[in-house]
Amino acid sequence: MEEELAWLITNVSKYSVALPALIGVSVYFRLENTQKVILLLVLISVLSEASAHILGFTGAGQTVVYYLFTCFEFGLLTYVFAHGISPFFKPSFFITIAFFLLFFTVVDMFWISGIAQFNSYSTAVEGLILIFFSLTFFYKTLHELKIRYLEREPLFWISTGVLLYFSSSLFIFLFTNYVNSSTAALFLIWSVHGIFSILLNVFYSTALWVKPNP
Amino acid sequence: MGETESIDSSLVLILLGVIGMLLLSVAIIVFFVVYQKRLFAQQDQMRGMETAYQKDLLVASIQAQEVERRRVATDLHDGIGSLLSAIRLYVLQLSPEKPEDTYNELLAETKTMVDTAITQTREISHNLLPTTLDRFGVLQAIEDHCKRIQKLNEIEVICNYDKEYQFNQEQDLALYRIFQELINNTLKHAQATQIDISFKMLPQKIQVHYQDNGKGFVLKEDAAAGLGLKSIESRVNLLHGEMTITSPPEGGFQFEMLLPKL
Repeated sequence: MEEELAWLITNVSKYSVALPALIGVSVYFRLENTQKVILLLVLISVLSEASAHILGFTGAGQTVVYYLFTCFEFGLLTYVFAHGISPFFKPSFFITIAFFLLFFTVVDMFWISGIAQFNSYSTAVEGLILIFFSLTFFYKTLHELKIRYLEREPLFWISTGVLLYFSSSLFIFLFTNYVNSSTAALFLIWSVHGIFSILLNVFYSTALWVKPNP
Repeated sequence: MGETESIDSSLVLILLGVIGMLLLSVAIIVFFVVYQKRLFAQQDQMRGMETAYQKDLLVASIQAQEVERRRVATDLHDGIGSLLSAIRLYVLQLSPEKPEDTYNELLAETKTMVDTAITQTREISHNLLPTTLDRFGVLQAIEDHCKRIQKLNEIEVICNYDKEYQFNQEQDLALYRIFQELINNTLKHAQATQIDISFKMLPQKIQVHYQDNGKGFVLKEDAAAGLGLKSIESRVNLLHGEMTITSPPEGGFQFEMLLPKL
């Protein structure tokens, strides 16, 4: 029963990415730049899930897809945050950080986690940086007081989703490789992660659905 | 058995970490949203207060203008107007058929009334805008005003200022009106015997001080003085200055103003 529930959650989380993709495509013509980048991220996420699924069937290593996805995800979210919190940091700061994560992912892939393992460390580092970006966005919003209606600000929903997903999943990314030997434990951990993935996709959907502040 | 326990404990630790981080991030988000709403509410409140304050100043300035217009109208109607009516009557009676004595008497009285009308016109004009203000600036105009007050009232006015600094025309007029209002308040309400006025040049600012030794007042109870003070406040704002008013319970009134130098 528990395993069935875990299986269900994991699958729903895989397909939940279709929700923001469908919303984003259906309202594409009124999307702003930030929202278009999020739509691109969502579409890459759909592609990654599909590739991982196919590679899983063929027996080939699907973890390489996750390494690639981490790089794309971080690059696109950094681009979004760079525009949202730009006066606080120079563009060179974001470019440096993006290249740092790319370099770290390569190191993680070949020398730390290994290409056959889930990219725990690069995802954790990615999460920490994105948490920092979303907290900076909150601080900037309070400092400037320019956004009156948060519910109409896509970056608010993106930051909220990113903060909830990455902070909650941080322990999962960091310690998953240590509980590899137990399938039941893995099922439980990944179903918890699945819940946060669904949550993140709901927040992305909201960010794509809202009409931004004029 | 030992391995299973180790897996269970690491699983519990991971889940505890996940729950802890989740709660922390939810708390941050809730704090952010609530604090943001509160900051906007405070900002709205401040804006409301600022608007109300500006409205009060505008109303006070309009009221002060109306009071001044009424005073000028009364001066014209009761003073010059009635004098001119009397002059007209006298002129109508001036005819060569009148006995010479009566004629000369009427002519002399007419001349006196014309002189009085001229003096009154000068006074009204001086009250509206003294020529000294235009020619020699506010410091000289205030000194002249003080001398006139000293002559007419039993009150000593001590002026202390540095003549070096020159104000522009707009500042001259605003400062003159401020002092006119302050002196009027003292004469009308304070029962004071001494007024001290001083202008001090500080490195970046000009410090203006006005003080009387009258009975003082409670701002909220004195509506007329309140209106005058609001008009002063709007003029101080016009000069980009800051003002403080103090009236201690033992009596006396102090006004201090800091103006930026040009």
